[in-house]
Amino acid sequence: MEKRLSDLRFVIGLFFLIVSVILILKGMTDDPTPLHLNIFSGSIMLVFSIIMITLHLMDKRYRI
Amino acid sequence: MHLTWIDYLIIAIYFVFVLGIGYFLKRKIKSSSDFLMSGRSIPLWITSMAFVSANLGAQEVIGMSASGAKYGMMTSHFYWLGAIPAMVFLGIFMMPFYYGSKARSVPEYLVLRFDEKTRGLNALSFAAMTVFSSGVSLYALALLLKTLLGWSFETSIMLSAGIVMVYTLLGGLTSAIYNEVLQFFLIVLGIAPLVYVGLHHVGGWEGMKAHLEPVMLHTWKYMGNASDNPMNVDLYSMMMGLGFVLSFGYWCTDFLVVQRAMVAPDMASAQKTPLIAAVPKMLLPFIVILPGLIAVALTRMGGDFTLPLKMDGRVDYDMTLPTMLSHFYPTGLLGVGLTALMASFMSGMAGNVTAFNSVWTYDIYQAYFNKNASDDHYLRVGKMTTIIGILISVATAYLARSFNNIMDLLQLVFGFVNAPLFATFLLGMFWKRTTSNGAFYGLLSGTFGAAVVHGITSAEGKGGWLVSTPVHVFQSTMAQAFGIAIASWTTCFIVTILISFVTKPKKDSEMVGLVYSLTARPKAAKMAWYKRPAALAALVLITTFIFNLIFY
Repeated sequence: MEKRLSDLRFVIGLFFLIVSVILILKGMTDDPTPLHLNIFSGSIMLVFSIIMITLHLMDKRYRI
Repeated sequence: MHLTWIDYLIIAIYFVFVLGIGYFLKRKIKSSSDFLMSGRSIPLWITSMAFVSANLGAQEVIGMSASGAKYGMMTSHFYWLGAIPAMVFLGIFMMPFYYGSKARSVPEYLVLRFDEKTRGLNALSFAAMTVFSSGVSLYALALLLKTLLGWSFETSIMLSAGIVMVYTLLGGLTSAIYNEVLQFFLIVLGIAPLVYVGLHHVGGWEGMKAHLEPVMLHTWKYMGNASDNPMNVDLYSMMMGLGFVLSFGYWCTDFLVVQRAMVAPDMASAQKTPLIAAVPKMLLPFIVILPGLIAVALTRMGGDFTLPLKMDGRVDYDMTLPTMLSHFYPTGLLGVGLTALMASFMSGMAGNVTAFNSVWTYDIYQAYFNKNASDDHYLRVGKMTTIIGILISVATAYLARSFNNIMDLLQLVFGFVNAPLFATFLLGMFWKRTTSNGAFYGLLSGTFGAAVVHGITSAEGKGGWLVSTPVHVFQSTMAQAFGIAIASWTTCFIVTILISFVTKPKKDSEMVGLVYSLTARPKAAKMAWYKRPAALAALVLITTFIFNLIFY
């Protein structure tokens, strides 16, 4: 885990993954805006976090 | 602005991550080079993002949306004219000398090319500027948090300065750079939804255009006459003042940004760093300037959104972005948006502090106080300097609170020092006849020239302190700043040339790798053409040209 946390792509991916989950959950339970901004922004962040984590996993140095 | 526990949770998670990055990088710090130079081992994509982010401080995020509301699309000149060409020039022409000379800092290049006194002058002025700039950033953040959240000045200062100090002290420059990259993505993903929701409310791009004067929607069309555009700047001042002197002076010589490229693992990466950074940089106007335009259009539509006003009834442009976040963002996303704003301030502060500790340790302490100490000693000095730099920043923030004019004064002094520096580097790198005395006295005279021009001209009641009646009145302080920069650069350029002709230059053999005509070109023969820096530079310049055409 320590090795993974030393890769910035994983750290950034993890951060946005957590934030996106919070936003999506908040958006699904209570979002007063007509554009569903929490779900919209959370989904974009989720996609971004998956890309970052995938890039990290594709790097041979960090494969288990 | 009312925050709930979810917003605070997002802010707290961000703080945990920035501190965690410092903690996990701590074990990698074994030498002063690791702490102050990242061991020159940072991957290209990180140096590129950090290059943009180091400049993505308070002035950029808050200031550019304020300028967008005040001046419209003309604000994009600070990107498409005042940044991209200079970044390309740095990558193609100047980086080979910075990186190839093995200098650890911009002032160290000056001692290699010229002499100790030129390095000392630059190092001292740069160290003072960065640490004061960091303090101004801290002050602005505290003011913002007080206005938005009601946090006390002390709490905001201690929390922000404390977090930056901990993660910088733990992981050094690498930690600052890693956090800058996280902060970059946070700023982009946290502010971009505002453009989406803003455009939706204003009726899309066409709806926004319908509520704005044409002058707000063009970059070049109204530049013919200064009084025709909201910046009150004419074409020559814009091209020469911003597009050449100030932009090249900042992007090509300011160690705060150049340092991010100098920590790349090889020459090709160092050259590509500002070129790759230019790609997000040219797109940033759509995130930081557009909200300002949208805010003006929304205000004119007469709905429930209006631009904030100051106590005296004038529009408070600096609060454009925070007011929009507060108005449009729901709980949750509001926490992300606020965290993005805090990240921009902290990114600016950490960038300044890491540049300060490198210059202080290598160019002042090692050069003048203790030349031959052990590496462990310089590592300790670097860490101590980080603490001292942050303490001075805190003191500056308190000073700025007590004396409002100090911020104007600091900005003015920055202009005096930065503008002539590019003339020194341009001559030093591309004219081997430039002498050490020419460079030193040229720099001094450039700064002196800037002060004189400010003293004999005025704009909006500022300047003119040398004469009873100003010899020229500029239509705006921005036009005055550009005028001062042009005068300062020209003075430095001419004085450096004149003194160089009457003083003795260094031997050619001492300038190999430091001057264009004496340095072998970097070989890129084994690289595919599209991977070469020149191809990337051409692509960046063409795209920037297209943006200028679209928003002509």
